[in-house]
Amino acid sequence: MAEASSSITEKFFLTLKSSDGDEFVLEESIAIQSITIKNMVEDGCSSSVIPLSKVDTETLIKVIEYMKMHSSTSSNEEEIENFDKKFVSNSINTILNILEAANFLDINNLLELCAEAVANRIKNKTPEAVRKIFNITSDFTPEEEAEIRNETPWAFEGNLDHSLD
Amino acid sequence: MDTETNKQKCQSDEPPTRYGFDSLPHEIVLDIASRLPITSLVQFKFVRKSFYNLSHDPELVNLHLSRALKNDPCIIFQLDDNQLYFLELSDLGMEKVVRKISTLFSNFEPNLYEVIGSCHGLLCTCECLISDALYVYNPFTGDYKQLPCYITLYEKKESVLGFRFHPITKEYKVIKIIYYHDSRLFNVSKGEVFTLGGNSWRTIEKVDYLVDSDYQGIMLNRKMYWLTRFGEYYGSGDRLIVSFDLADEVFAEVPKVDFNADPRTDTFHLEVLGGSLDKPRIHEYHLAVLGDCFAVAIALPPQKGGRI
Repeated sequence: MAEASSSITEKFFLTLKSSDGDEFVLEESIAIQSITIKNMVEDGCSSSVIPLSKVDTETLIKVIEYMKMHSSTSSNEEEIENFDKKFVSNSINTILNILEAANFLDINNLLELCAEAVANRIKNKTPEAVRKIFNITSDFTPEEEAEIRNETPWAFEGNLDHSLD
Repeated sequence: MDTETNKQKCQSDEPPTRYGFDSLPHEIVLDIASRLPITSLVQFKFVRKSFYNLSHDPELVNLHLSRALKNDPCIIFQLDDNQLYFLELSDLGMEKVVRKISTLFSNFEPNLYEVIGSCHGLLCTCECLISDALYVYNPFTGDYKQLPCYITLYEKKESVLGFRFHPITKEYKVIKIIYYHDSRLFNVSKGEVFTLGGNSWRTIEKVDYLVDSDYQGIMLNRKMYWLTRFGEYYGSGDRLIVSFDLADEVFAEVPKVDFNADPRTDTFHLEVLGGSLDKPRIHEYHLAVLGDCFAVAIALPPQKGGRI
């Protein structure tokens, strides 16, 4: 078990509970990359389970993976870089969920990483392509849409990427 | 390292009900949008109305500007058809890089307005043939403000306009120097400053220099610099570089270094150099040290061609 193999310095553990009711035990030093959790710890809430009502299990697992990799001691720069690269190749819905969680948990690096990843999937795409990728329905009237196209035709030309990710 | 996990139930009972952008807080959508190059941002705002409205959010404008200035500057130019076009430096080398900006001026008759200055994401334009109305304009959001004007075409003889952003006070200022004609010479009669966000022009201290209206001023170290007209300075015919401090709103003279060029006939150009000075292919240049940067007044040879 982790505690058995750990060094002599005393480690504190926190229990995080997802919105689906699943509990995860995580070293406090890793978990406090989240400013939200850090504040809770400082306010003395850490003795019991920390409920994260806005983060589902699937998302929380990803967030914990990220925090473990980015906790200072165990990983080197190259490992982190590769991990991040792979991390942002998750499906766009997963990324959006993680982004929302990172915002709630106040993990700035993760927020930056995911916001950049989402931006990268919007870059150089026509409005139609962006609507497809993010499953957004246009709420412009046909007349408005025609006017926009007439005014700024170049915005609707070019890379129409139909892939979902 | 899974040992630290108490229990992991990975199965998801139902597909996620939240989908995409709808569940994201406003500031996150704003953050994402601010990371887009301007081309993609324009495309993005046509995705749906809430994104379209987002593009007018001053927060987005500021955030995008701060990222774009660092990562991906954009050049705007005006062609004879009275339209504004832009290109992003990151697109250079690609097939289609120049794109049209649809502007509120698009339907105007050609040459009825000109861009008199641009800085920090905004343009200052002048409807010079009709009314001298000045606009400060964001070409990508379409937002604009018309500045008050009360000088009629008839009494004015010539004006010099400058439009700059002060990085410390975060103020945009329009500087206007107006010369009235007396029977023999241009006389400086009035200098005025308009601070964006304010409602009126303020008169500035007497302007002792005749700034050459043929050339746009430059901004360096929070001061604006202009070349003066050819005139009598310190006993000889010459041109000077004068500065205008945007914070103090005071004019000053840059210490003179002698030109080897003819200040009367040669064409000059003020340019800020980023530190290194490539050997210019021009026959003379004048370097002035302004603070910790250089400005160069480039003297272009007369049209008939000169020595190198």
